[in-house]
Amino acid sequence: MTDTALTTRKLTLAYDGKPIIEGLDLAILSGKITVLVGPNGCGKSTLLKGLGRLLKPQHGVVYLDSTSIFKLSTKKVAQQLGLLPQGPIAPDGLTVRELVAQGRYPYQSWLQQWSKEDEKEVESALAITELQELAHRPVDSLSGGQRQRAWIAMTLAQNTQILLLDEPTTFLDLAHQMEVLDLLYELNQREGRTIVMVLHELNQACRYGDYLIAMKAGQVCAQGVPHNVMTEALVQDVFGLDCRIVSDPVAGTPLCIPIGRKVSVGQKFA
Amino acid sequence: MEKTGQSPSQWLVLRTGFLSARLDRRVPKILLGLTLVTLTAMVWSVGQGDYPVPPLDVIRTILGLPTDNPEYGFIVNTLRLPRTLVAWGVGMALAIAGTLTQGITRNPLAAPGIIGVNAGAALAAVSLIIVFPGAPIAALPLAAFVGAFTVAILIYLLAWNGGSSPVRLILVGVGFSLVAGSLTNLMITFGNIFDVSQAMVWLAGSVYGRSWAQVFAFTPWLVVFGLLSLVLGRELNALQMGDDVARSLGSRLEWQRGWLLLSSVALAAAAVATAGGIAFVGLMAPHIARQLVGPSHEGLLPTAALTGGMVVVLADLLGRLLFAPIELPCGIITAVIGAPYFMYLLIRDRK
Repeated sequence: MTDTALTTRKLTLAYDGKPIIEGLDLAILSGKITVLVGPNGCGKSTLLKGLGRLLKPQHGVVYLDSTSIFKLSTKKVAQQLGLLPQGPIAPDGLTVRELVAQGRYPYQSWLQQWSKEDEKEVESALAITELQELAHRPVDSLSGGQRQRAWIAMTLAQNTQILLLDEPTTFLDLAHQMEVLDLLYELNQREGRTIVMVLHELNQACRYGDYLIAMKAGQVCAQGVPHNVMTEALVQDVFGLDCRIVSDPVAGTPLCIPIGRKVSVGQKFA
Repeated sequence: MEKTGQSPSQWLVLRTGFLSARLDRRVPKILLGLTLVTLTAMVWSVGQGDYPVPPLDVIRTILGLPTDNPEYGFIVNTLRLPRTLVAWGVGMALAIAGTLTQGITRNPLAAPGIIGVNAGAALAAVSLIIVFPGAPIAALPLAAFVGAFTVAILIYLLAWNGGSSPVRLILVGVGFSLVAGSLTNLMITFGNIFDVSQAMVWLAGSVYGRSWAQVFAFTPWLVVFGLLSLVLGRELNALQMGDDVARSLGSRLEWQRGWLLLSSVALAAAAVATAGGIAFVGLMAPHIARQLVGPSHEGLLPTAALTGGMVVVLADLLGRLLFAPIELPCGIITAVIGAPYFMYLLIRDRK
C-alpha cells in the first residue's frame, strides 16, 4: 500500500466543453479521511466525480495506486473504489437488501450472480449500518436517514478500500448526520479505509477530516490538517464570510462561528 | 447442488461449483400461474369459433392424438393454433420490450412507443399501402419493421450528445413520434378510402388470420432477443440505479444501454410487423409484473413476458367472444383496458 490512494496529474475536468477544474495536481492520502469544502458550484462534486472516473477528464490523469484509472477495467476500479453520488434514487419497490446487493455488481459475472462471498458482504454491510431489521422493506418507504444508511450500505458491500461520498449527510437531521459521520469514522479507524467526502458543514469537516481541501472556483485554495486550513482569512477568502475561529470545546478542532449582519449591524446600533 | 431455501428471506438461492444465482422467491409460483392461465385461455381460444371444438379435443388434436372428427386437425392446427401462438409471442415480445424501455429510461410510464417503434412502423406501413397501392400485403411487415428500426436508430443518434441520456431519449422520442404520427395522418387523409381502411385495421393491431408462416418468421426474433434481454437483465438492475451509481459500480453504461435498446427495438419492431400496433401491452405488462415479483430484472423480465403473452391471448379471446360473430381486433381490447390503467398509473404516481 502506497501513501497516496489517488493522485491527479494536471487534471482538467469539463462539462460540455466548459472546464470546471483546470490543471489540478492533488494527492489523496491513503487510510485517511479527506474532506472537500467550498462554496456551491466551486467544483467539489466535479472533482469527486473525476476521482471516481464518472467524468472523463479533458486532460490529465487520475492515478489509482500509480496506474491510470482509465487503463484499468471499470469493474476492477469498482472493486477498489466506491462512489456514492449526491441524492441517489432507488427504483420503486426495491428492498433494502436488493439495493445493498447491487453493491456486489463488480464482483459478479453472468455465471456467478450470487456467491457466498456476495451474501456475506451484503449481510455484513447490513449489520454495520444496523439495517437488518429493515432489510425486507422497500427503500422508498424509509425515512431520509435510513435511506441514506441503505445507500452507504450498498457502497460498503462493494468492499472497496477507497470510498468517495458526495454530501452523505444532506437532508438528514443533526442526529442522523452524526450517525453517518460516526459510521464513516469507525470504518476508517477499524478497517483503514480511505474516505474522501464533500461536506457543507465546516465544523463537521474539521471534526471528522484528517485533511481538508478547500476549493474555490475550481482551484484548491488550501489543503492540510484542519488546524492549518481553517482560518478566519481562508473562510473570508473562500466563502466571503466574516467569522471567528475558536477551539471546539468538545473535540478541540477548529470551530467556525459566522459573524453575520445581525450581530455586526446590531452592535453598531446599540 | 446446494439449495438454501430458507436463507436470507426473500430469495431463492441456487449454487453449484461455477454457477450461482438468486431469484425472488415469488417468481416460480407466479410463472407457473401465468402459464396455466395462458394455456387454458389458448385452449379455449382455439376451440372458439363458427365451428366449435371441445377443449379436450383441442388438446388431443394439438398433441397429435386421434379424435372423433377428422376435420379438427385442419381447423385446430392450421387455422386457429398459429393465430393464438402469434398472440402469445407478440404479447411476450411487447412486454419484454416495454420492461427494457422502462428500465433504460428509468421512467415507469415509458413504453416501446417512446423510442419511436410504433410511430415508425405505422408511418412506413401506411406509406406503403397508400403511396404504392399495388404493393403486396406481404410486404407490409417488412416495411413496418424497417420503419420501426429506422426511426428508433434516428432517435438514438439524435439523442446522443457525448453520451446517451434517458431524458434526451424520451424527449427526442416523443418529438419524433409526433412528427411521424402527423405524417401518417397526412397520408391517411390523402389516401383512397379503401386503402385507408385497410391501413387502419392493420394499425389497430390484430392477430386475425395469422398463419404458421408468421409464427416461423417471428419466433427467431423473440428467441434471440428475448434471451439477450434475460442475459442483460443484471445490467438493467445496475442501470436503473441511475447513471452515476451504475458507472461507479463498474457498468459499461453506453454499451449496455446500446445493446438493451437494440433488443427492445428488435422485439417491438418484430411484434409490430407481425400484428400491428397492439397498444398498452408494453406499458401494462411490466407494471403488473413489478407488482407481482418486484423490480429485480432476473425475475421481472420472464414474469413480464408471460404477463404480456397472457394479456394478448386473453384480449384476442375476448375480442372474439364479446360481440360474436363480429370480431374485435385484440389491439382494441388492450386499448380499452390499457387506457384506464394508464390513467390509474398517472394518478397513482402523481404523489
